[in-house]
Order: sequence, then C-alpha cells, then structure tokens
Amino acid sequence: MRSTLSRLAVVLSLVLVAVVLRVTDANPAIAQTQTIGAWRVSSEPVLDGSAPEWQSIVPIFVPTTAQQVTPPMGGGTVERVAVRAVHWEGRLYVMLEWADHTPDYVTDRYEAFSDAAAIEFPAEAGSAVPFVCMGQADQAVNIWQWRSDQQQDAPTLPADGYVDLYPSTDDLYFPARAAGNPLSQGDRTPVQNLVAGGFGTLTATDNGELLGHGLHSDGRWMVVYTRPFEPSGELQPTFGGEQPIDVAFAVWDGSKGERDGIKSVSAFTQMTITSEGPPRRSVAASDDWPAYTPPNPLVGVTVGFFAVLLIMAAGVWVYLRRGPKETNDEEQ
Amino acid sequence: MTKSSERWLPAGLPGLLGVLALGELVLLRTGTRTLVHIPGLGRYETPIRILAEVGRFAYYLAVVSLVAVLAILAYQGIRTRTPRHVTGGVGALVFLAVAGAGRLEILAVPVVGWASVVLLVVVTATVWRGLRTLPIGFFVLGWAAAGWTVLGQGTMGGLSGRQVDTLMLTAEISLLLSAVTAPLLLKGPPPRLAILVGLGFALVGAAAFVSGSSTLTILILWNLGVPGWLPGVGYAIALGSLMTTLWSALATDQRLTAIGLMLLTAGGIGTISTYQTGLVLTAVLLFGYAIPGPGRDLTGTIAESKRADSLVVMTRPTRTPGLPKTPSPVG
Repeated sequence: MRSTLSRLAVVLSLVLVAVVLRVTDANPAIAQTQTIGAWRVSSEPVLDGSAPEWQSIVPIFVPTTAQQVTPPMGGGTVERVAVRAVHWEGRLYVMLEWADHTPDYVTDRYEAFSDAAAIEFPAEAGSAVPFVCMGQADQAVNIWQWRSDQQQDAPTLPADGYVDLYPSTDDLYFPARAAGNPLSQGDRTPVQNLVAGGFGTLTATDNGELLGHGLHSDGRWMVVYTRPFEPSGELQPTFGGEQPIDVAFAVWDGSKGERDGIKSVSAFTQMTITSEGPPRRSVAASDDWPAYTPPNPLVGVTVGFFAVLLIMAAGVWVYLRRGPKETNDEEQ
Repeated sequence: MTKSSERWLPAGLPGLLGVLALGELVLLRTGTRTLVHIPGLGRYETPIRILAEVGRFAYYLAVVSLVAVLAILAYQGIRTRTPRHVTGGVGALVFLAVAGAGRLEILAVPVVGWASVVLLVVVTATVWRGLRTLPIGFFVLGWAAAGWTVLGQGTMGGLSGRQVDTLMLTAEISLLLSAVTAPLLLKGPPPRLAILVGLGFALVGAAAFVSGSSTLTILILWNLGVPGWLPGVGYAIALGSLMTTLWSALATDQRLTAIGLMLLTAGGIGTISTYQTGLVLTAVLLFGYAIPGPGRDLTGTIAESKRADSLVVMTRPTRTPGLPKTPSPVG
C-alpha cells in the first residue's frame, strides 16, 4: 500500500511539473542543432553574393535531401547548401550558395523549369517547430522563394530568341494577371513572400520590403535575400530578438526536372542574430567549391579530435578493466 | 558470509520514460507531420490539434521524467562504488549540470555540445563489454560523427562540403550498423516469433521505401538526424533487426535492454537537443546495467525486473560461481 502510494506520488509530481512547464511554455531542454550566425556588419551588404564581403564569411553547410512527403516527390540533386547571414541597421540578409553547373533562367517550354531557392521560417516562435513541409494547421510558416526566371536582369531569352507581342493590354488578354496571379503582375520580383499552414494552403502575401537577387557564377548560384527585422504583415516572423530563429532551406535545379515538390530540402536548423562580427576566411582565387579550403587545418583537427576521443575511451576502458580485480580484492 | 544487500533502482521510471519518449516521437514528431496528408485537412484540424497537444504534453512529461531518471541513475551509480557505475553516475550528474547551465545561458550552446560528446564517449567506454556492446559503440560513433558536423561548423571555423558529407555518411552507416547488430545486445538468440516479427517489419519497410509513397526519408532526416542518403533497403533491414531485438528483449524479460532500445530510437543521432542527448545517455547507462561484464555481478549488476509494471525494483547481488561468499561493499 505504502509502495503504491509512493509510486503514485512520484508520478503525480512528474505530471504536475510537466503541466506547469507546458502551461508556461518553459522548455527545460535546449536545441543543439546547427546554428547559423547572423553576424553584424558595419556597412550595407550588397545583393551580389559573389562579392568578397560575402565570400569571405565562413559558411555553414546544411545537408539537404529529396522531398518525399507529398506528391510530386523527388529531387535531392543538390546535396548541401552553404548559408551565410548578416544584419545591418535592422535588416537581415541571408545568402544561399549551392553548386549548379546548368543555370536555368527560362521557362519557355512545358518541360523547362526554373532554378529556385527558398528559405522557410516558422510564422511565430514557439517551443515546437512546425512541420518542415508547408507547416501545419496550428503552426504556419513564412517562405521566401527566389526564382531565376522571375529576375528582371537575368538573361531571359537566348540571343536568337523572340517574343510574341499582344497588341491589346487589357485584362481580357491577360487572364492570369486579372485573376491576381502574383507571377503575372507587372511589378514582379524574383522573391515571393509566401505563407502556409499545411499542404494546399500556400498563399502569396504582400512582399513588403522583402528583396532578393541571384547570381550564377563559376558553377554555383549565390542568392541574397533581405528583409527588415519587423514584418510587413501577419504570419511572418520578427527578427532581432535574443532567441534563435528556426530556419529551413529548399533548392530546385530546373534542368534536372525539379519544380514544385520535387526539390532538395533541409531539416529545420537555427539562426542566431548576434552583435559579433562574422568569422572571415581568405578568399582564394580558385575556390575548389564545394570542398573549399576551410580557414583552419580542419582535417588535422578532425582526425585529432577523433583520436583524442578514442584514446580517452580506451583509457577509461583499460582503467575499468581493473574493476574485477579491485572488486575481488575487496571481497577477499 | 554473504550479507544480503538490497539496492533500489526505480526501473519503472525508465520504463515510463521509454513509453513517453516513444509516444512523443510517434505523436508529435511523426504523427502531426504525417496526418497532414489526410485529404481535406480542415475537416480534421481539431483531432490533429488534440493529438499534437497530447504529443506536446508527452514531450514535457518525458523531459521531466528524463531529469528524474538521470538523477536516480547518478545516485545509483555513485552508490555502487564500482568504477564503471560511479563513472556513469558522475557522467549523468555532469550532463544534468551542463544541460541546466546551457538552459540558464550560463554555458554557451557549443560548450554544452562538446561536453555532451565527451560525456557520451566516456560513459560508453564504461559500459563497453566487447562484442555484446558493439551496437552501442556503432550508435555512439555515428552520434559523434553527426554531432561533429554541427559542432565543427559552429565553433571550429567551418567544415568543407565534402567533410560534412563524409561525416554525415559515417553517421548514417554507423546508425544502420548499430541497428543491424542490435541482436548482439540480447542474452541469447532471438525467439523464432521475434525473427518473424522483424522480417515482417523489414518487408513492410522495404515496400514503403520502394514504392516511394511514404514520408520515410524526411522523417529519417527529422527524427533520426541523418539525411537518408543510403538505399531504403538498408533502412528496412535495420528496422527489421531493431524490431526483432526489441520483441526478443520484451519477450525474454530483458527489460532494461528494451527500454534502452526505445530511448536510442527516440534520441536519434547527433546533437539535436539536450533532451534527445539525455535520452541517448540514459540508454547507454541502462545498457551498462543490462549487460554485466563476466565475473562482475557481485556488486554491479541490477537484475532486470520481471515485474514490468513495477515502479521500484528491488535488486539483489548475484554471485559468480567460484568466487567466495563475501559481504558486498555496498550494503
């Protein structure tokens, strides 16, 4: 009886503490996932990702994999995305870089698809992150999607290309524009501001001051996004706080047939806005992307680390092997 | 003369933790992410919200239980006075202190991460019993490799893309090897029924991977911490082996082994959160009790309970044949 009561007391105590933590939304655990530093810089960053001021920042590589959740599934041709982030005077700048030897600017055929990249944030900070694919009913996400075919300064036509010209400009001849399709509006931007709360709920919203620009060079895309810390509307995160922000990435390679759900996606990782300056590396003239030379002799450090762990483990094991003798000695 | 000593381990609490962690994994980390496939999401919004809330509460309860279990394991380990369990107990205490300091922002997150890696490796060394503990060794190797991709990039000035790939692949291979070799954790060969159950799970897993109609890859990335680059068949075999081991452990009263497997599954690979790291550390500590070394049962062994629903398990020291009857150093 006493034993049963003590068990009940233990379980009730645990439940009580858990209820208090849940109600106050106080998570005793902390995330240990990859953290991307959003570093403070002293001058306005440019939207050209190939500029030395961007390239000299040490990137964080985020692994990506094929999207296998909902049809159309597939992709995964891009294995990793390099991420850099900075902030300047209340604006966040994020640069994504990934290897792609075939830039796809034009979607002039049914089977031609654009290269693209997206950044996803939870709409609101919380103790639990939403589902990485379009969020979920009770936890929406905000997505910034950049598309190469929507970029005005990109070479949209080959040299020998031509366009049809409609003589009429009224809505009758432009039904997509009339219907409000954001991709058909005259003031189109390469970056769309989207919100979603589950599959089938993706909706374009006011871009506000969300900007972006992509550049293809040396077999890789470099896309810079920027937005003020304060959002322009609902279901968009506010930046600048001390708490880390959850963030995920997706990339499409058009020439590999990637579009819609066929893409490379990452899991959620975290971004921390810090007042420190970015860690820099020397930018080599011929970066051997994607295995560029890290700033430190990391191979040696990596081998050394595992060697230390191994020696430590072996030492503990050898020490403990003396256990039976000690035990037996004590038992004599 | 043998002085019968009694030591106490609330083994029911690790069991409760195992159930809660799996519940949280199934409801929160998996259920709410797969239920969204239901056509007409709006119609099912309320049940999904309820399930998500239940999962979230299971998470909070699991975190609280985890702290209690680690504290008890620390107390129990230190009390045994055997080097391996004392080391494990101190490791649990240090982890609680470090994770708490990280939560209170006394320690930086990378410091907590590095400390987690070191603690897990040291504690794994204390439970090492050769071939029988090979699956734990594989798991922790994979865990350290995946953790290194996070910690190496965050504090060491960067890793190259190929280094990241190599480490993630190492983590993935280690994870699969850990699952495939999991039956080594058992005291004997798995029963025939357990093998059939494992085969069934492997076939279902293989079919799901081959058909490509599942959420498995993204769930592997999300829940286990590896990118799912290896062929799905490998994961199917690993799933079958894991289920065979789990079924065998439950069917043959190897309760701590079963709980350890549940906690490893819920914990995943790599430094994801202090909660998941704590689950893995707890699992390794429990394996240390479940798999005694030869000739060391006089002081270090905690017999696995046959009372599966017991909150408190009374344990008695067992005597190795051939050794003299002597009072236990922990009376």
